[in-house]
Amino acid sequence: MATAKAFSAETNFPALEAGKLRVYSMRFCPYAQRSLLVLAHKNIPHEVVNVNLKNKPDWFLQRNPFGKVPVLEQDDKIVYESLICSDYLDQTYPGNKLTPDDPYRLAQDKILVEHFDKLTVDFYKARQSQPSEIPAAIEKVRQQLARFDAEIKRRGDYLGGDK
Amino acid sequence: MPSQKAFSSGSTLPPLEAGTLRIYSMRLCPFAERTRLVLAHKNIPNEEVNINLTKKPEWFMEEINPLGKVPALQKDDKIIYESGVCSDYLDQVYPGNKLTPDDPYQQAKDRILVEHFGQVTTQYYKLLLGKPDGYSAAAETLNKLLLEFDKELQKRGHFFGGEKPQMVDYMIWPWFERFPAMEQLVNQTFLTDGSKTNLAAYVNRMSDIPAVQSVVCPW
Repeated sequence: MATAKAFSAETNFPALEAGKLRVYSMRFCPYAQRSLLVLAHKNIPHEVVNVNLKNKPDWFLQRNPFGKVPVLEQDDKIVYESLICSDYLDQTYPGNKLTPDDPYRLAQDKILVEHFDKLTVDFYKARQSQPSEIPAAIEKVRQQLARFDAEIKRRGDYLGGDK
Repeated sequence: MPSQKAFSSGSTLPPLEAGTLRIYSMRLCPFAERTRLVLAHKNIPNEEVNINLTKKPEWFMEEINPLGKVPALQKDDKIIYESGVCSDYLDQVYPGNKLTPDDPYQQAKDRILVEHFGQVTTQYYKLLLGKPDGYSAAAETLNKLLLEFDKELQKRGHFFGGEKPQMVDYMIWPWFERFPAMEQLVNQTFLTDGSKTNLAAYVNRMSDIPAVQSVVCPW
């Protein structure tokens, strides 16, 4: 599974059994990893198909015109966008529920993820910046991390609370 | 209300009564309009405070939304921002006239549609604000995207939400509302050129619904 070859443009669509849940992924993609984490936490049986994101198969682009992973496929259902996939899994598969029941807490969690997505943009920018720009770029990331440090203190062992 | 002055830098945070739901907004902001549509659809009593987004009040960044954007909701000690989060929160907390489908797959499909609509708004802004040499590429892409939306609407019914407007419709409506103005400014028709008959009918249909009429910007 961790070493499963990635499907490239020249490949045929790997047949999908009826009823089976498949996630299109890439071993190093953090966004796909979001859904893999949810699948693992909730013990949802699934099959992983890795996609070569530098040379995408047509059959993959037909499923997600954005051409990104993760993508979920089961029978005639297709879901993509990492947050949408993760929420869909939490709603469809009961047990080990991952989303808070309280709407305000849920809203606060979504806002936190939004802040973190901005942090990752600055993180990638820092990695790609010119040597002279690096200190300022890192400082920007550090300032945003301070928010998360404060939130962990406030919330508990995890951003989700006790678990 | 549509002529309410916007709070600027140097102003003081207007006091908020206990139990009152306040929305921080801006009359012309399409993102804030999403949440105002939800408030109108669900008849949720609220107080509107407009923010001057070109000269933001210090208190807005410091106490309400560090990202400095509208919409934001405030009630007692609760503060929420991000248009999608605000809209979903309202639908969950205020029952009645429910806007989100019960079926998780339909919910996912609707959210994916809103994501795809982001491509439409990208081209829309490229036409309005982008460089002239990018114009024809943006127009071509926008046209292609609108044709796809036209086809999708045909599958779904009178509204993207089906037989009646749902969250998905309110999340995309603000830009459809601005299309005629954009078409005039760039001197090209998109929605009304005869090739997107479903979308053209949809725009007329949406314009008639009470929530849209109560929120529409007085151009």
